[in-house]
Amino acid sequence: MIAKSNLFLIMYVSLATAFNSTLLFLGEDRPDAYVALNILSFYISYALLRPFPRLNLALKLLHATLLGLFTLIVAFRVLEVIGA
Amino acid sequence: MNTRLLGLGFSIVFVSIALLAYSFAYNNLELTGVSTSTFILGLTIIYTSFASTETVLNGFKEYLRFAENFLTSIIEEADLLDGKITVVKNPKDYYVVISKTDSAIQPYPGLTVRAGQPIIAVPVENVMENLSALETVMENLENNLSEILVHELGLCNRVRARVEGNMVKIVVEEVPGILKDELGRPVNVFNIMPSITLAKLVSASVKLIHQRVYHNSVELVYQVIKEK
Repeated sequence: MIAKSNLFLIMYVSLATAFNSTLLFLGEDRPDAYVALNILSFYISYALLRPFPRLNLALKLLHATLLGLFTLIVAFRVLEVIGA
Repeated sequence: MNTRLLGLGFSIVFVSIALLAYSFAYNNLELTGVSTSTFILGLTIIYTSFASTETVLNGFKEYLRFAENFLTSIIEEADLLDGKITVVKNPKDYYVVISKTDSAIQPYPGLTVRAGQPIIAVPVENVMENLSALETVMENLENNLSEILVHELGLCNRVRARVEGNMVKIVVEEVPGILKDELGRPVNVFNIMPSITLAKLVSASVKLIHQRVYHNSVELVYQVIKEK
């Protein structure tokens, strides 16, 4: 039986690869779109599998980094729309 | 910490940095996107390498304490605190035997008394039965032990082994901090698991004739008892 943490990594890498390939085929040239979908694929896999029963410091830092990055990307896009 | 995941994460990060540099040099925005995404993936794998094993260890550590308390009280009651640990190989089964007399030839599971001497025998056929590394013959015993004790079971960071005739010396080094206080117990994970591993690797009975505990390592000397 595959451990939950390994299953999570398999799912996350597969989703991220699928999103990256799709964006590449569509000719998307905004790097933040790739990053945002990568973070999204992380949280989809995380929510479905809950691989780690308790948050330790490393995971807290990871969540802070990813959520911070995602917030920045969204904030810049919103500012761009408002500015336009 | 899972060192394999850590290595994988760092490899992905290095490759993505190289791709990122290339994409900047040639002003390829699509490649910049893919490499940044890959960089985050590598970073995530590095972070998860610190988290994957730590949490499950806490639960097992508490259970291990209970199991060791249970076993230690039985050993004390049976007056076997200075008994020797032997892993006896039978045609069908392996037994961990604790006794003061010479290694039991035909152990029976549980606590028995033979010739006035108490003997504790625990069948261990199902322990580590799914480890593929036990079936793989490597160039030397140290590599085999290292693959199982370091990479598969994560009991320590380094294993050294030396074979001299029918004597095998194993040094289990740099045990994880979370399990360090187990070293002082008469029967603990660091003298039982290497004993079972060695018996299964050499496919013979092994007797732990000497052990010395250091700060974060333990030296174990075994006598391999080949069937006549």
